[in-house]
Amino acid sequence: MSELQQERFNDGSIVNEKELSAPNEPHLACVLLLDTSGSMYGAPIESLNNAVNQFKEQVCKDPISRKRIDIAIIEFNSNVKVVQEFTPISLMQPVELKANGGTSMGAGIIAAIEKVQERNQVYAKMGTPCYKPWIFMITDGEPTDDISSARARIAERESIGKFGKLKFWAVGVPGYNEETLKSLSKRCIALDGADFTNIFNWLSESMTIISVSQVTDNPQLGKLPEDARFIPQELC
Amino acid sequence: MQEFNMFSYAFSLQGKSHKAKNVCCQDSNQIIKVENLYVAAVADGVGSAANSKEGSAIAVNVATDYFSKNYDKNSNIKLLIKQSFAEALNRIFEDAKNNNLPIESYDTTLTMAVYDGQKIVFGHSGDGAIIGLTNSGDFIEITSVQKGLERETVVPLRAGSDVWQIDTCDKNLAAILLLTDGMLDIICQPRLKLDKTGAGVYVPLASYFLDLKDVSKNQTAADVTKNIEEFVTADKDYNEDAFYARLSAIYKQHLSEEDTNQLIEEIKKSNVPVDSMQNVTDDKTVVALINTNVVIENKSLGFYKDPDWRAIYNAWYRELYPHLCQNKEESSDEKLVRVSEDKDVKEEIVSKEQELESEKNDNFNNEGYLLFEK
Repeated sequence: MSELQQERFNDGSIVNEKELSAPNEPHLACVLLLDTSGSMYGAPIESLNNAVNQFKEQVCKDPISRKRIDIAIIEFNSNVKVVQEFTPISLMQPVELKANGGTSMGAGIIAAIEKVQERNQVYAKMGTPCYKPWIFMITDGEPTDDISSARARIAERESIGKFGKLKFWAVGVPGYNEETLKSLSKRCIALDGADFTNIFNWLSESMTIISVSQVTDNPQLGKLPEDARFIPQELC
Repeated sequence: MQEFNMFSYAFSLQGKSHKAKNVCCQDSNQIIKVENLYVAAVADGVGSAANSKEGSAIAVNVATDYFSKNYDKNSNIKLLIKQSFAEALNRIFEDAKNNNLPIESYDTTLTMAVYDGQKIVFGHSGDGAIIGLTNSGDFIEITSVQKGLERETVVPLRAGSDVWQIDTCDKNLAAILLLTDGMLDIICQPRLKLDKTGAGVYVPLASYFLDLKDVSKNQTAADVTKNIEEFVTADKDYNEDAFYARLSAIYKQHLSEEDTNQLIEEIKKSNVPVDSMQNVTDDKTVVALINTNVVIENKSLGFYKDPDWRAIYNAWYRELYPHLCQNKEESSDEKLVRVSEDKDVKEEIVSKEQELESEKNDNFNNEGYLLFEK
């Protein structure tokens, strides 16, 4: 702990680098909603753990972003568990997820939506400006529970008001069901393999782009990495 | 009509985020004199709208020009402001049509004030604001920010007359300040909501922009304007001593030298005024109209004091990250009380400070500001 950098905080005290979240600055809440079902066992879950842990380091390189981004982690397998409550990204603890059980995707999505909704209400109550929250779901399989309620909740949150109140991303790892993902979100990404490094690098860049923009802007995100592609939605 | 000497200044400066992207300043402003009235307007082109600079320029120029051409002493000023807004919007529609561009690409806010040296009639659309300094020395936020759901979007001029706020302020105002949102967010910092004893306006900054008792005495108008512009520009080489020297001169008009020096030293420790300005990345517009004939009343020492930022931060932090705070039973409703000359209040403050100090010792270790769960 002795090697911690100290920087002047705006209350004049010399504080630990850990105190990096700034109430006056707009905040971006992002839930990492992660499939830790049995099929993710082995290399996929290892890659996921590494990618999530590196994601923090990447985002924290930007001095503005690291004060503005709050991350929560929810895993779903046979059950749904909040691995980490909303925490400033600089204070994210390393994850060591284990793969086991079924795929309660519907319950996981509902839990994530409730988390971000509650989060934005807290920001509003505290007078902290905020960006539209993100849910970034990664899955490699079919849901083993009913996802119809989850589907309806995503649609509702994304269409409230003129611009919606949520950005839901569904990322499929080989083994995923394309129709299921497309039914959930217009933002579907397919990965070529179970290496999450590049997609999380893209996520960290995207978070940075958003968090340094004005709250009312709609900034352009970067290109997807080469091992990922958008899943096209059919025109109605 | 009361005689007055009006001091005014106006800047619209490109923000750091726009400089980085090579985007021009999308804010516009205008001040005109119409007989015995001053008319000021500010507009902020919506960031995502491609022609918003044109939109904001049309808004301020057309609105003030229409007012000027149609005002007479029998005018219903509220109605005339509404008509001025409507004319500005019509011209924007026209420009968009002539250039074959979507109207949304011109989206802008618009805030306009008609000021006679004491009273104001205003029109407002969007997330800018008008701050007033009353004759009794209080700062008040006169307008209400118009933002979309959960503050994700701004309500533009195009939202129409049903949404525009056209109103008067019943207080006598020694000065008014029109701002776009980048500046509003530091003068009415959102976290000040957690300080239940304050009015939500950051007094050191508001004083710097509006309380100009020293203008005629010690500095020329040009000097003051230059000083303010340099502060707002917030160049990385900005000498913060200039800010504190002016603030000190302002405070000495209201307080003793000893009290002023102490207050300034405390504000320097947090350095919130300068840091806040340096951290603004948005375009910045400030327009001030100041009736220098008004003698603003002095307030108590506590009024000019910096808020207890640590307590505000603690309250905020506990609310947002309760799982990271060891002592979970603290309430975010803890009362924050400013220093006051009143003895009873002072005793309460001392007691509260001791309590907060004790909490701090419980929660904080030598290595950090707050203890976190491992």
